[in-house]
Amino acid sequence: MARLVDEMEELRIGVFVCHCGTNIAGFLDPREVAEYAGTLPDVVFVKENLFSCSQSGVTEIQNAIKENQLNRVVVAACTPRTHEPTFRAACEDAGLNPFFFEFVNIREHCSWVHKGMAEEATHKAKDLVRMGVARARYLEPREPIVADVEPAALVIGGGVSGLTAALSLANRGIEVKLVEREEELGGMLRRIFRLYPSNIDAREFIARQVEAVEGHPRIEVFTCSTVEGLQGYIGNYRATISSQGVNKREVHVGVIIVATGAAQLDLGEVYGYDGKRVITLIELEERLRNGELGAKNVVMIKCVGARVPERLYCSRICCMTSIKNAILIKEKDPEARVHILYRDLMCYGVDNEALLRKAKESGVRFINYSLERPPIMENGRVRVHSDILGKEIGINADLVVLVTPMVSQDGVEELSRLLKVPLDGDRFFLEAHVKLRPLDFATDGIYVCGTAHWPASVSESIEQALGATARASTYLINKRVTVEPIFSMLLDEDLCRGCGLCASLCPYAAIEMVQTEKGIKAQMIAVACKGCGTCGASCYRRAIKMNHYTDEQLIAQVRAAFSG
Amino acid sequence: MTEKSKNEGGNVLIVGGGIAGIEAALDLAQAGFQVFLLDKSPAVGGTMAQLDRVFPNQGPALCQISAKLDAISRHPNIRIITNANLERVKRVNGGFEITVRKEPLRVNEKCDGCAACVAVCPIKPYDTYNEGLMLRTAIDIQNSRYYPALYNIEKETPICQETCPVHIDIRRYVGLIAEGRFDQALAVIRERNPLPAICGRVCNHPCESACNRGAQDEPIAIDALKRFVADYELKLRKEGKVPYSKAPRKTKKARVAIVGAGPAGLTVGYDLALRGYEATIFEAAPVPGGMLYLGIPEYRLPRDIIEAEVDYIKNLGVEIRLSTPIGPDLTIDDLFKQGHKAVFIGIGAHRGLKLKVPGEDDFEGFLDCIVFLRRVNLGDTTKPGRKVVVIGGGNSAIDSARTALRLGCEEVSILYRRSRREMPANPWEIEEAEREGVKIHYLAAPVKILGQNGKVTGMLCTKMVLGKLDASGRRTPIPIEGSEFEVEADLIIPAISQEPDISFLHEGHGLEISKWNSFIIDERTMATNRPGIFAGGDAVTGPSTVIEAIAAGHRAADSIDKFLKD
Amino acid sequence: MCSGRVDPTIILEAFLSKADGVFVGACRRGECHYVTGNLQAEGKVNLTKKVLSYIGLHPERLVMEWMSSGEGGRFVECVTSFQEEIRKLGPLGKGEGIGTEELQLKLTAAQRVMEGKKLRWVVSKRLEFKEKGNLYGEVFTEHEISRLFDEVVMDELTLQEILLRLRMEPLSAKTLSGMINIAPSRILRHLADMKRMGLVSVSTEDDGRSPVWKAV
Repeated sequence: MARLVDEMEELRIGVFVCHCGTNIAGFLDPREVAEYAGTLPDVVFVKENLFSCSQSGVTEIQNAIKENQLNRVVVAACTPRTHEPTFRAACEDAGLNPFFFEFVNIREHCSWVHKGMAEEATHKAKDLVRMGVARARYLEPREPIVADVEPAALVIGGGVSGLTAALSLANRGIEVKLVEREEELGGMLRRIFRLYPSNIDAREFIARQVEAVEGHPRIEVFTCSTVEGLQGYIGNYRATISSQGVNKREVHVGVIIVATGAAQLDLGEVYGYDGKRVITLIELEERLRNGELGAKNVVMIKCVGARVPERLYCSRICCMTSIKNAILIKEKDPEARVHILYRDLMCYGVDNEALLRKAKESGVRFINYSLERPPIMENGRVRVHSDILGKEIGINADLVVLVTPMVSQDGVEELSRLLKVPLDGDRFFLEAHVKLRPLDFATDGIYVCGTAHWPASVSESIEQALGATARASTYLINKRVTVEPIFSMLLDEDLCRGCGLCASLCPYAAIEMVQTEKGIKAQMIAVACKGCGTCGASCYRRAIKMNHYTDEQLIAQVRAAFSG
Repeated sequence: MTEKSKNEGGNVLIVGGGIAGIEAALDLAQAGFQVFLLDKSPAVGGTMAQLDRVFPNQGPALCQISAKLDAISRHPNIRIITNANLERVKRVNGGFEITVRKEPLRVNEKCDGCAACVAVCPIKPYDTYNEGLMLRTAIDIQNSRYYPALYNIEKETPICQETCPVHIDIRRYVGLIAEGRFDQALAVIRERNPLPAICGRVCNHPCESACNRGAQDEPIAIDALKRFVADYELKLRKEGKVPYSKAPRKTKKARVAIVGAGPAGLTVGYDLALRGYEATIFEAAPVPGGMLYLGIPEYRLPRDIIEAEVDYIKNLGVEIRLSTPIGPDLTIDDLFKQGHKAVFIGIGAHRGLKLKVPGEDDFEGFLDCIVFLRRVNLGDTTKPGRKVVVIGGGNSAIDSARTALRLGCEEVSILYRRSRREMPANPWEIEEAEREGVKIHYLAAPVKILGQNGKVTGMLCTKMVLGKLDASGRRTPIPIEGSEFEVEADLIIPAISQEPDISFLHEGHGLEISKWNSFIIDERTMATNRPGIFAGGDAVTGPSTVIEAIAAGHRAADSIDKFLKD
Repeated sequence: MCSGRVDPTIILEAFLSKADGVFVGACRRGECHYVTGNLQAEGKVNLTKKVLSYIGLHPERLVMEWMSSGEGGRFVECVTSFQEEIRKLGPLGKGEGIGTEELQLKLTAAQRVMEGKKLRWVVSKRLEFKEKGNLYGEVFTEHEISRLFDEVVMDELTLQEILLRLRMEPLSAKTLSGMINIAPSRILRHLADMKRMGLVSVSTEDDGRSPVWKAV
């Protein structure tokens, strides 16, 4: 275990100034910053690194810790978002408690934003280093918290993503509670005809999945059910499942997978929608399955309600869905005339490109139109201004198919509030990090997959479901989770009056009011605490201490900001 | 490398250390599995570490991946194996046994990163990290941003070894010769080449043409060095200082028949004997070596050298039955009946092609180069003619011309329809031939054979001009109209090309034969369409080099070994 | 660290350390990484602005802006306009015509106020009062809450300032009234309350006309 620094021990602060190649050194003077750092109180060691985060940089830091008995380490480099773990681990490996590390960002906060102002940037970097050193003086050692994980999962949503996730987890020996608000499992795929490019029957496929889930000894299915309450934290969530609005049951799970899917945008009577001669894509799927297309001249209008000012995003999969259906129509009736009116074609991937080619070869006509001049419906005809031909074309149509985008499900706001996970501007669930954590939420132990996250194809939904379960399994299989020890705690039980303000403010229900020998007192659940600090900033008794962001540390930093 | 982890059954191998491999490693390790992360380069990081920024958040790629690199470097459940390739995956008891070949870094842990080596390194390969836009040094950290950022010497397969059809570790044996460790050098050669003394004389050594040193001054004399160590051993052996190595124990029951004692057949016998098989070579000619003996003149390849090399192979336990042609009396099927489990056909290409010009069959005074050389090589040294014209531009043409000169022919010339640049014969052979007095007419081809009294008197030829590139990558010669001229000759030696002589095959042999009379095989396994029958060398490719035939022999032997094991 | 961690006393610490302006950046409403921390911060910042204006400082010196971590452009805009605004206001105190010592005293009083239980309680309960109502089920409108704040802040601030001034020297209610710029009758009411709480007492020194108070 890492060495804890005795409170009485003299402060020995080491400051490392990173050049980040030219990312920092190209825009400010790291030497001047380093020299300045050397003049700050209790700083006994200063070094510049070409790349502090590189293996050699880390080694330099570790050697300095050992050789100079440093007990606080300040690295002036980049962002804690990516590199705090690196330097904390470096400290730990060198025998120093990782929480004696303080990160100062002189790249994002200085060099990158003040290009061409080297002098000012250098000055600011010095200010930031001074603030970092000031805070470092008050840093305290902390030990990580390890909590148990209940080897069970709650999967919300019984479509292809949810079913895949449930099966994947159950097959790993995890107990799964699958909640579906509709009467039947299967979701959107129940309404789809065939899946491309594999050309398999969607209903058969989903029926097999449903059968496997329903027959699985480790999966408990709750249909006509919703999640109504949630308490707890990663490894120990207690969810209340309400069936038919009456039967309530509490389940204890370690992780939650959100697979609530998406819906098809319903625009009402645009383009003369009547459900007969003007139908939606899903209705087309149903007709094709029943073999009753009832039309010789089919016109599909894409991007209806998509990529418009109120809905800027591209739904990605509708292009392929309509091309698939166009091919199916042509295969059944080569005489049928199919026109696809599009704004842009989204046919990503090798298979999809091949399908587009196949559609073109089989005689499906593609006509490009622009947002400014949308197609116009006339009696039995669609008039469209072709952008490529530069003129208007009239097309006979017995059947017009409106291709609308996928939109988020009803009720996502409630779920988002309940689970305390965010939605994006289009009401899709928002992942923790667009690049590095695409299936996680910022809240540990909750994952997202499938179209709840973003319009996705069936194969992408399955990929994401498998990915999310793999992410979840890292905790479920290990049955343990390590939580950052940045949590609030009661500084002094005697100060607490048991008013309950903190408990009512805590967004994570991480504070409980408990009866003790000294009366009602607040009790913090460290694993559940996310460290927002709201309680600490609100307690009028100053009885709560926000670890690693203590009043002393923050005030020292604020004072240092203006003492240069 | 062999490594058993403590965690039986809970081990995962990830091949590829890019961001996908890294993420998978982290998640699996977190779940408690022991993860082996394998990458062929000296460090993990992949393409993402090469990038500047990534979409859609426009973050610096390095910042996003370096934290991951750090995490995998610290995780107790992750073992990173870099500079290594997956060699074999074998299924065992519900799991896999993985064989990994790890290349050495060639820089040990004493390295403190002073980079003095980089400053002095003379080898400057393209910097793959920078997409080959600039050069780096052979000793380097591939990229200090990758993990592990260790100095290493990247040794690609040297170009000579890469070029050599049998991939002899040339750099190693040349280095050993430089250190005077001749026996070890020869052992290195014999790992891939059973005929070092022969190749040391007649190999077309593409390795030397590729040698980087050639750009500086002259290529390393790789072939001559090979000849030297081989000859050195022969000398010691003659003096009784080196014994023949003993035949390896016959560990395999299966017997293999090899048809033809040329370089391909000898190689198959050599390889199979070393693997413990009983191999028997059936040779139609009274001498071993195939074209080596019958085609190549003695001045280029002394017979005692061939004998010594063949003896070496015989001593490994390979039986060679000379004057034992496969034919009506002993068919390939008979070989199987005799108990051979596999047959290799390496009969070479010994039938000369005809010129296909008028008069070819009308007059006496024609001698195909193969027939001619074979006659001479078997001891007939009579002077074949006075004025000899050889037609063709390959090594056989040169050999025929030079042999004719040696037999006392007064005037020997070569007629070749393309220019010297396109001539397939070894350039040094051409040069030597010209120096010896052979006249070479380039861009000329026969159109008609002239004769009197049933005897050849000469040829009517035409001048040619080179046109477009043909399928072989050479320019097609086109006759120039009205440019005909006569050449006097009493002996014409066509040396245009050869094809395998498949007349030995019995009715209903069932083997697929191409329109060039060569055997059709699966190029990967050297297997013919009949199970158990393999073919290689000139019998498959048409006339080619010794070293190509040896390469084919290796492939066939590997394949036969696999076939017999299954 | 969430903006919810921003304690008004820390904001005042910055002003006490001679900051001319303080900028609080928070996640957009409804997008808080910590669910509701930004809304808590909003209440605290608004209250602190109120306090600043009561002590005679430009409340514009304290700015709170909403933005997501992906909105670099917005951040630049916000910071630039904040910086321009502060430049216009001039250095802290000078822009308001308050002397250094006076400023220090007023800010200290303000910090004490923000540390006090009354305001901390009310500001933290603000959201709950608005949504669920108080202990008696009374739901407050934003306007009512604002008025409630006004009263509490005024009272608390006056109390703290009286206390700080009396700590330095005993003063009469009239003198205090002139210093703090509040009617003598209200000062007296405060003094009476404070006496009850045992914070002040009547000094034996008498200027002849009105009693002189001192801190206990």
